[in-house]
Amino acid sequence: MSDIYGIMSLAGNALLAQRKAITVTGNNIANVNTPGYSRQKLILENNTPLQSSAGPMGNGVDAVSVERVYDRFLGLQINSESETLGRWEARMGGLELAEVIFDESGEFGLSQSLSQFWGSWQDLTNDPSGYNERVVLQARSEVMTGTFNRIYSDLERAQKGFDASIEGAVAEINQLSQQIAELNQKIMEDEASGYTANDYRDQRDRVVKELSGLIDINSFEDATGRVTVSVGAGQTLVESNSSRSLTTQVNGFGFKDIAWVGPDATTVDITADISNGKLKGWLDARDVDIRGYMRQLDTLAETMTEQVNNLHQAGWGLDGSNGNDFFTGTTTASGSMGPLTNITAVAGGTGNIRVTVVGGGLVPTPSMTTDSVTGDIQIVIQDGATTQGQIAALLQTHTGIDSVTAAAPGSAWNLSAGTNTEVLAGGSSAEGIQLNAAISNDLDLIAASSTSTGIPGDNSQAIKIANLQHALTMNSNSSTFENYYNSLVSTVGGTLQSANAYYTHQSAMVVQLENRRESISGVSLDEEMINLVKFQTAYDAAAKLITTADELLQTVLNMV
Amino acid sequence: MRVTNSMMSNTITGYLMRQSEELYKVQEQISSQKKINRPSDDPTGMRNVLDYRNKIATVDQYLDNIARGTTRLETTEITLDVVNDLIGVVREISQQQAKGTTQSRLFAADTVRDLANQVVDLANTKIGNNYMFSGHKTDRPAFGHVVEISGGIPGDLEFGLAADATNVTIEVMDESGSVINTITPAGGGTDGVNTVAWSGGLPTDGLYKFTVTASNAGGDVVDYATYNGDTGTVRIIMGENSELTINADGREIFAPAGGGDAFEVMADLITALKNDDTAAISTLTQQLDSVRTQVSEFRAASAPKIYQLETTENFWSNYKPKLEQLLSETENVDLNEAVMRLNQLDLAYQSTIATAARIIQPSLVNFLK
Repeated sequence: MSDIYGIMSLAGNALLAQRKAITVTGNNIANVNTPGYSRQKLILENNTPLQSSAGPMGNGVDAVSVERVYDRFLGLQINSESETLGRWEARMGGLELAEVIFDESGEFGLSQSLSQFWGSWQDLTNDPSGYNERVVLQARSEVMTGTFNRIYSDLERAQKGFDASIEGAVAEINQLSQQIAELNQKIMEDEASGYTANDYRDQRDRVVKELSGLIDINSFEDATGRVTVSVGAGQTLVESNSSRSLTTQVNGFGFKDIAWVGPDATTVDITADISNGKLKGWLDARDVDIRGYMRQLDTLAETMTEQVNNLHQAGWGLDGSNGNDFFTGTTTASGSMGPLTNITAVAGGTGNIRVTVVGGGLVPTPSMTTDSVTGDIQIVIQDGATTQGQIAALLQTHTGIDSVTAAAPGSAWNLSAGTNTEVLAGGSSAEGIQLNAAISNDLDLIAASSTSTGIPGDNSQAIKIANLQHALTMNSNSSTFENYYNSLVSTVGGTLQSANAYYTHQSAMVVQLENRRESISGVSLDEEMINLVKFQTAYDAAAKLITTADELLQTVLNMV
Repeated sequence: MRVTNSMMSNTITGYLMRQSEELYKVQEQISSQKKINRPSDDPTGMRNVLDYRNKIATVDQYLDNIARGTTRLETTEITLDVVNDLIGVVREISQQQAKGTTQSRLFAADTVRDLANQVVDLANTKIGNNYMFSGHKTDRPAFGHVVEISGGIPGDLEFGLAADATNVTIEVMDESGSVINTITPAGGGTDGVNTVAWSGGLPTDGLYKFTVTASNAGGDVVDYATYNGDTGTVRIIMGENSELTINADGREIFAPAGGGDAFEVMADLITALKNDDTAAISTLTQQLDSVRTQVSEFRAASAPKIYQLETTENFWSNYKPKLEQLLSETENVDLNEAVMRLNQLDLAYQSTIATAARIIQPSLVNFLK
């Protein structure tokens, strides 16, 4: 029935509805710069019409709900690309650190020291008994070995730096997971009344995006509006309103691995299952890139030590001695893995590798693969069938392994019985290479002569050592020492250059996706201004309607 | 497409960041004068730069080695020139004295002795701290009375005599010149090279000079110096796996196998002059001729070596600037190009900023009352 009071209430509803609309607009304006905010719309519908003598008549406006303008698929895409972006950002940061350590632009790097080292051997050939030449050779050798030591330890320090970043990221992941769980709870409670919890959902989206930048996740929303997040090989991080945490463990190399803490406080190592996000970037920089560079440095130092020492030992010093080492400081890596006792690697730092035994083989005969960058060895066996003796024999054929002893060669290897991975540690080349202290104490030990009767004028042995500069000693006898190192520097630069390219490309992609999101969900102040005017005018009109209804009422009252 | 405020500000920020990064890179290149400031700027280029630097350093080293070798050969040449002259003077004296009087011959003997000593000094020329003509035994004079005690074991004392001697006294001296041991070999000495074993107390390890006094029934016997070195050669690195071998055996000059011993000849001459032995003097004159020829032959044999060093030095001297040019082309920035690029980027940057200012500022808020 449309009477005056009906008009009043219709106007009142309209007033309230327009006021609500202005509130929503105000909220949008206030949050124009809030990151991750999706603009909200008030959904207005017309009320159910009333029957009247003139047929159905409209009954005003109904403010149904507030919805956020949001593309869910876009959100998932952004998360996924953010994972990759985080990974390249972290890896690039790591490689930049490494590049600074290999700085050769100022002519003070290892390339220069190597060059001067060989030069001082040639100077010695010009006066084999000369004291000055020996002093300079000693100095140049010490600078060179010192540079090897410094670069190696700087790289090691960089690796430890990543550990700090990883620790920080794990703590942040735990915090974010907790936040998601709490938001899950809040959203569930709020939406129990049938309305969407827009602001909480915005917050949760933002937290999930931040989390995906750190580690690759699988996330999905269930029917009750709660988001489940899982990491690694399916370990859940957030489920309904509770969260699990990640933690760090020290691995055989002395660096931090990432583990998931299960319900009964057991830890599962998920490092190998992380494939994206900043964590992956740091892990790659630490365990693949920098470790690869250190391995190449070790190979260079080891080969130099071997080649120079072989020739020097065959030569005679001014004091009549022979058989002296020129370089010292290489040590051998070793370790034990369960029944395989005494695994000894070849001398030098390249022996610091990880040996892992895995199952999955279909025949008892084991097979072996070597990682080309890190040198790590993996042996595939048939669980319970392959014997220790077979594994030991296979391992011994590896060029990087010197000797292996099996405790009980005939018995089979059980993957579940004990440890199946071991890091062989203690090897050192680039880290420990030194000029033989005996030579530092007595320069007469430097062997320039190739016979005992040639002292002091014979320079043949010094010539042989000087000619090592151009000998093809590296890369299976296809490169010289200088070539090898120069290639290493080039590789450091090249890897960084491509990481840079990936990062730039990924950044551009994420920016574009973000812009699309903004285009859909972002607040445009101009639009909101127009809305303000729109709703304010409507409010004024509705207010006018009330005034009119009031005047009608007055007229009726005055009629009597 | 719906455009929001955030979108515009983000996009503009992004472009401004990118442009300032480009500007920063160009500025760095201009300041450092290098195109490649870090390996990632140009990995292949960096590697080439390091390779070129290594090569240039090596070439510098070769040039240095060659310079040292050339000095050695030139010193040899000068020394032997003087030796040649001195032996020439001795030969003149010898020829004159073929008709000389006993008295003039006695005076000549003294002159020849002085000249012979001068030749010995020249034979013991040093380059730096090393004797040039001792082979590998560069720590002892090529010719002279020197004995070595090494590892507590004394060497033999070797010296030459112009004639048989009944009395021979050897006095071993230390650095200050005081006598520390006197050895008198029983049976005296013979004409030619004598080897006497050490006897008496052993001083510490080292090289010791000794003097020889010999006499026979006719009077004093002249002694002469023998070779103390070995056959070792000097090798100079001229290039990659390429060495020049220089003869450093003093005997090849003064006492070659199958030829005359210059010092023996001169000692014999002194003896002949003192003994007034005309026949001997004539024979010795001819022997002095062949000794002189030996020295000239040795000098002639060295000439190709000097030539080899010169041509190699020319090669490296011409090669080095080419390497330096390659290095410069790879590493150094072309200043003109860089400054042009800087201007371009600067212009672009300024346009972007100006546009940004115009786009960001206006808003509907300004127009609503």
